[in-house]
Amino acid sequence: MKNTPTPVPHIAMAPSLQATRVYKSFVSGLVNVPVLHGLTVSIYPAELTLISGPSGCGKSTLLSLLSGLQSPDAGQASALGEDLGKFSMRALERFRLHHTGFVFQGFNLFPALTALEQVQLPLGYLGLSDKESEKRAQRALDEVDMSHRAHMRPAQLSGGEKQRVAIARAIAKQPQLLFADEPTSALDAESGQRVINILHRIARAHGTTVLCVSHDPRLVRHADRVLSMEDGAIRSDWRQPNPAPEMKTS
Amino acid sequence: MIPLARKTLVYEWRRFVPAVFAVGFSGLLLVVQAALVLGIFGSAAIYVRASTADLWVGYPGTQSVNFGRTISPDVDLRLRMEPSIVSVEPYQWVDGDWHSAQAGAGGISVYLSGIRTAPDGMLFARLLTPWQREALREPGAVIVDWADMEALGVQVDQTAWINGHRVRVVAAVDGLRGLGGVNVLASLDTTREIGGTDAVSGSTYMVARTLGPAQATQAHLAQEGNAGFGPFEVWTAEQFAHRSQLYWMFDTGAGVAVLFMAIVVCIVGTVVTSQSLMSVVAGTAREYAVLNALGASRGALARLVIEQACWIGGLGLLLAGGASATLLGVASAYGVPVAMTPIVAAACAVLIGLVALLSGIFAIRGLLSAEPALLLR
Repeated sequence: MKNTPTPVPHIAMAPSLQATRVYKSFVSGLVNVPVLHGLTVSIYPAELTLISGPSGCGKSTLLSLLSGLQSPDAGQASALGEDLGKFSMRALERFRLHHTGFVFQGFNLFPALTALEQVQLPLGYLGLSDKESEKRAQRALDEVDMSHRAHMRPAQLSGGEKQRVAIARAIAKQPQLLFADEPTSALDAESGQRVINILHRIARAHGTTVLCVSHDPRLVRHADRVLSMEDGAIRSDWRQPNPAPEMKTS
Repeated sequence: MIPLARKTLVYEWRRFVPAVFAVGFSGLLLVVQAALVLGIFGSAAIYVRASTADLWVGYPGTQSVNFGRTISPDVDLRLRMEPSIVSVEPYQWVDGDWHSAQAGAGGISVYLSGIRTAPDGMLFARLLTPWQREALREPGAVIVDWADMEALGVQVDQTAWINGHRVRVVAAVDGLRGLGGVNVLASLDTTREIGGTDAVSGSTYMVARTLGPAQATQAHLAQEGNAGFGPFEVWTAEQFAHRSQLYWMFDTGAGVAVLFMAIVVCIVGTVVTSQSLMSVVAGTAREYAVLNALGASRGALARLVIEQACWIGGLGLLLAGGASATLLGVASAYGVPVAMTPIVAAACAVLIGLVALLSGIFAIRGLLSAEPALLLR
């Protein structure tokens, strides 16, 4: 991998996510631990952006600020041109409902629901009818190649399959922003590869902004852009010169 | 909308069992307590409820049937002058001391009720068969409740002593158990002999049957001048039964104790139910956090918890209903004084519902740990 010290400007599109001089610190016991120090970054749609770095470098914190799960101590985090700091909690929930999807390392599926129902569940909060949500959920499961397991519960699925259901749950709302936190860390090589390919395909096919946080080296080769973080700051910003084709999986 | 609350309840029913049992047992405690109260204090009015009289006439201010004082025999005359009254009969009440024939047995307080033995007698008409009433004509004949016979140390056809007078148990009946003392039925003559009174000195109560509504006769009797007949007060049977029950429930402090117990049961039920529900919610916190990250509002998640609480309340109600019906059935089969009315049953159901609802509201605190930012590593 070749790192370039200065970010390559993305000419074609306006950024969909922006952090401008954001600061964030956490209190640990009696000590105030600064995590992000005046970080500025722009993330663009239709590509898979990977934030990598060692544990505790602040990559997950950056993701939480850009997704509106947390607010910065200072600075501005904006998504789709909206300043997230100006939203009330309810407005933030509405924004997330309409525009964002999340994939976490733990799959966090409801044990009682089948794969199809897991994907349908968030669609209900959008006010879709059962028929419409079922149609959309089927499509999302198709996209992650899980329609054949649509009526299985989490206990009957492998780790990779659970993560694919979690991705289907995140994308069924057709969000413009998709956040993934260590989506492959708990998976074996083959399952991890499938998940990477799916995330990449979603970015390309739907123009979705996919922001992925991971320290999984396998992901780096498949990202369109890699931001390396260290001690709460971005150390390098590297962009794939020729996007690699998706790897085949058996 | 995917019915998440119901599906989780069905699929992971084992996790909800403690909460359902907590609600169910709270309900069972409430119902049994209420049934015992109704049963025990209802027996304070057994004399009124087991009789077919429409009006009860006694000493003014009498708080409960067992506190009756002698009224003048002239009251009988006054009642018979009333055109709407079709029949009148006296009720003689004597507090007695029962000694069984068994050697070494101590005395037992009994309430001796002296009643008319004619077949159309109103007193205890709902309890006695014609032959039992007729059997009381024999001097010294008494009737007791089956359940009291062991305490009285006597069997049917055996003899015992009340206030030093020999009596013989000619029959035993069901439903005569009272409050404060053992009820014993005898004829007016037997009772007067034992009590050392006679008809001229008056009786404890007069009871009457009316042609029209009892209230109208009661009002008419109150309006007319009753001077010269001695002091007396007239109640309808319903009023006098209530008066007796209310005295035992509230004036003795027993009602307050029962109310206090009901509050304790509700509080304990709510605490236990909310704790078990909260542990279920906290166990699903990560899944709830993902839903919140995906845009389901905190309010929507809270509604899920309340919905689960309502299902738990419903199941607990069924459990309480089934268990209470069985337990009360067994209790009444063994002569334990229990009773239930639709209003009290409905009140218990409402309280059980409240226990479940409050538990749900308290369990919402479990959602505090459903913070989406905590899902990020």
